Amino acid sequence: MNAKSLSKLCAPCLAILLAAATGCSYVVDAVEAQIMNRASFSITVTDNHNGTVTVDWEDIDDLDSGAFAGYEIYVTDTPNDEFAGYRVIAAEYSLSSSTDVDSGLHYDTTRSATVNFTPNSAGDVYYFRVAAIYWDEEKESDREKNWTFDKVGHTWTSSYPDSENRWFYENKSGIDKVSGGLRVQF
Amino acid sequence: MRKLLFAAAFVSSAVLSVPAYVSAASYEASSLFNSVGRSETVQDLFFERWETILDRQLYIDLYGKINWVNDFKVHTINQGNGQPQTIPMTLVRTYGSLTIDIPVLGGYDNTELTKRLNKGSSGNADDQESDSSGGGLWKPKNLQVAFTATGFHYGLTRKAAVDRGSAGDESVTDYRFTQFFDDIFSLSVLYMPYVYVHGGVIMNNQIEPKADGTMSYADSKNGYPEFRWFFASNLLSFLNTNATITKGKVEKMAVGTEVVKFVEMFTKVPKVVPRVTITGKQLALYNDETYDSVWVKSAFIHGTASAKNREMVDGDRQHAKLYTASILVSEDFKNIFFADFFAEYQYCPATLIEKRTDQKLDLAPLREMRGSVGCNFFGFNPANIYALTLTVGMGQYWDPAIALHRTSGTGHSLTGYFSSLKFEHPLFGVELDASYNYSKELRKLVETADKVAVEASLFVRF
Repeated sequence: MNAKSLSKLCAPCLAILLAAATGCSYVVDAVEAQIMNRASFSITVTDNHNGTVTVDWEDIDDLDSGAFAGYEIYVTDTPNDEFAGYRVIAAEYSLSSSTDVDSGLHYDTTRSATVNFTPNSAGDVYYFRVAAIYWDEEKESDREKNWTFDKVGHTWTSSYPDSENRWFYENKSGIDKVSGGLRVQF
Repeated sequence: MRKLLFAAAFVSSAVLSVPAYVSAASYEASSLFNSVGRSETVQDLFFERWETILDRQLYIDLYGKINWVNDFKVHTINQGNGQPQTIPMTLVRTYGSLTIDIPVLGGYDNTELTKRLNKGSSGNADDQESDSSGGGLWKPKNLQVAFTATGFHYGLTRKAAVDRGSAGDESVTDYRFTQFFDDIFSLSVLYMPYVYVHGGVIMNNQIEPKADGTMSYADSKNGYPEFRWFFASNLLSFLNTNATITKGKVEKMAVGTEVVKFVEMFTKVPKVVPRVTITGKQLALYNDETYDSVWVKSAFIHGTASAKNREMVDGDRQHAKLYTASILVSEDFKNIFFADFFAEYQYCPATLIEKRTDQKLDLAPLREMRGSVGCNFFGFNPANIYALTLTVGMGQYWDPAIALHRTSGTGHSLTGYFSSLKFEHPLFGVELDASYNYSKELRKLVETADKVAVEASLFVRF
């Protein structure tokens, strides 16, 4: 067994030891949570009383810079309803007519963003979330190899902003980590 | 890609609810909060894995299963407007087990890998075609030391839809309400085939998620985790005992006998004879807890006219034990045809008052009865190292909480069915199950009454 083989065994061996030390229930819960996009970090939201809110989020555990595609900020699309769906209000690209474009959301080191947002009425309650978006192909080498014109009709580029990079963002990315839903009353 | 790998490793089950009518009743937890019942469930799974480990002489057994049960309608307050609302949520059940088993003296039969990992390899390995399953009982095989971590997580989650505009729609989930984590950490010493013992601790934990739906494993509720001591033993391959002790009291005690193994001490028994296990159990199941579906002895606090309630002090809670006697008959014909039958009878000496009706509840003598038959289509060729087994079965289960959780019909008993297809290689396997009100599932979680489950699991062993 050479050094490379030994290093590949490290991750599963560590997972096994982790399961043994912490309890299998927590390990399998963490696995299920990863599959189901479970909320895993918290945010704060400040109403700036000028038609904008500032959203701050804590460091995200296990954030993979190589797979990271950007942050997105969401708000409930119906006021005064904890169980409403969410819509995107800020991203590095204009994903909808109501999306603020914020180039800072392209960088994994960003921890804050100020977004245009006006509630329907004073006193309304909204819920906010932040998501870390990952590329479907998490390694750059896989993106270069598999996202070619002959395979997907577009050529991968990491250059931002770029129309090709935007196409991949809209079609080949997904939520990997998401915050809890923070209640804000305006 | 990572999520696909996780999904491949732990395959989920999607459960379709099949209500005969739309029920106005919302979810009320019962067995979910019962740590006595949950401890029994995690022990049952511990013993299931160990049966495989001993049968196939494994060094490592790694098993995982994820199950989602949808359409749990929960009464809650919408924090956006302060109004009560009934919201569909998902009950998540995840199970994992890891055992590392090392023979420190002697070794396993068969050094050849696929032969050692074959079903029944710990038996008469040198002569698997023989009709005799006896012989060798007084010849020591080995001394093994093992560590097992087995755990079960239950909890409700809620899905939220996210519209990413031109990037598409996705969903995210939040933890909702109390999350339950039950883990066994056990050390085992096995002096085969004479005796083995498992001893360790069961840790029952409850964690309350934060208001934003996130959760930290360090945020246990006050008073948790609770610990129970766990002990199990097997003597001469036929006498099984196990006990659980909490707060200085015996919470569960069980004694079982494998009849054929006992007879084999004196004479050889043909392999075609079914395996018969008789077990007696005492379980401190009814404890006047808020989540129980019954009160013990009376609906009023002893010596008062006050109704029992969730705020009553521990000293006012009354307790009752459940006594059961069960028989399990299982047959494995040349690893081709399988059949099993299980029946369990119950008795509780105390009066139980059903909370739903305020009436005395008479326990049905028969708590559970189930049977199954199966066929390994690859077993007709003994040289085949693979197995493809189709199993079907049905069962009936009686529980005080069934009347509360069922969405159609009345009564405390449900009859259900299951089928499973399992593909096995000596080193790994995958199983797909479909069940509806099957007794083994209701026994684990009575809240799954009247819900169809499709579930798959994966194991790796060496």
